[in-house]
Amino acid sequence: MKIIFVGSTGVHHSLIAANIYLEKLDQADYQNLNLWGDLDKEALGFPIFVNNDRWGNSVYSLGVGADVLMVVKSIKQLVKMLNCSERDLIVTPVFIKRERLVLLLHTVGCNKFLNQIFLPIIGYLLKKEFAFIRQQVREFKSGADLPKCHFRH
Amino acid sequence: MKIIYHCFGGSHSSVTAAALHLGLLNKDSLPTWEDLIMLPYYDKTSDADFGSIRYMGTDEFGHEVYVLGKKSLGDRYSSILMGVAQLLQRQDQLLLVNCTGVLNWSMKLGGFTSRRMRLVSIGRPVVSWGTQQAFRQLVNLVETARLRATQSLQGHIN
Repeated sequence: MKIIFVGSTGVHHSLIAANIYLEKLDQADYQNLNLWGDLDKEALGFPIFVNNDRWGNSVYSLGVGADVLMVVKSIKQLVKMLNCSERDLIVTPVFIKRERLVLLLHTVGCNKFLNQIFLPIIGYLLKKEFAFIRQQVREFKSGADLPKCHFRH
Repeated sequence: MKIIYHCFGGSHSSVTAAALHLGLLNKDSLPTWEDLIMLPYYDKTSDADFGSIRYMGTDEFGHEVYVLGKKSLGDRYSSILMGVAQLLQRQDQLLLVNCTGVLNWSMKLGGFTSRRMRLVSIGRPVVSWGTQQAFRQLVNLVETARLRATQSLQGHIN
């Protein structure tokens, strides 16, 4: 199974959510997070592979711009169109309260030099959102019909 | 194969392209205002339709043709959906065609006036005129897409 955390950017809060899900992040310390603020990966527009969870499910992060729910709707529909189901791919949105501001900083910091200036600011803003992101991951884990049914021994 | 034509609103250029693909419009003659208005979904979508992949029909080769409105996400939407298809190992079953490249100012202005401002009586003639102006480009886009779909089909047969 594939699990995609979708946010306005794929290398900030959705990446944090993916790492919380993977139990690789238990506090708001993002500087050493693999792929944190990686503009090259983000620019491709494809889901970014983060890691496999303990059940062998592949976990991805995806950035889709301002209208996260619109893209989530399309992806869910596409999965069905391609004769797959939620047992093959689950997509879950990740929101933050400072969505517009983080997206703006990410957009303005579109080259590597500016990104080095704005990334710590984004990190600071997202530190304040850590509990909210973690809450969303908890809700996803408790609500989704997931990975346990694909347990790998 | 599933072929998705996508544009800003999923209401004008993508619908016209899908109609051309399905033979609902004749590629050799410029469609009239009435021809366009008669098309399913043409200038009839609402905000709730953004992100909805809507079925338009099946072509003579069995390819299912869809339309999609993706706002200003541009080619990124193709990458996102193709990326998901790759994760599912179904990328050979999907063709995404971005129609925003053929949009002209009449289509943008008319589409905005009709769909966003809900001034249909003003916007619809403008967007229809713009669609007629972009018609040849849409024909080229669809011919290329049909060729790609056919090549993909032949790849499966061979």
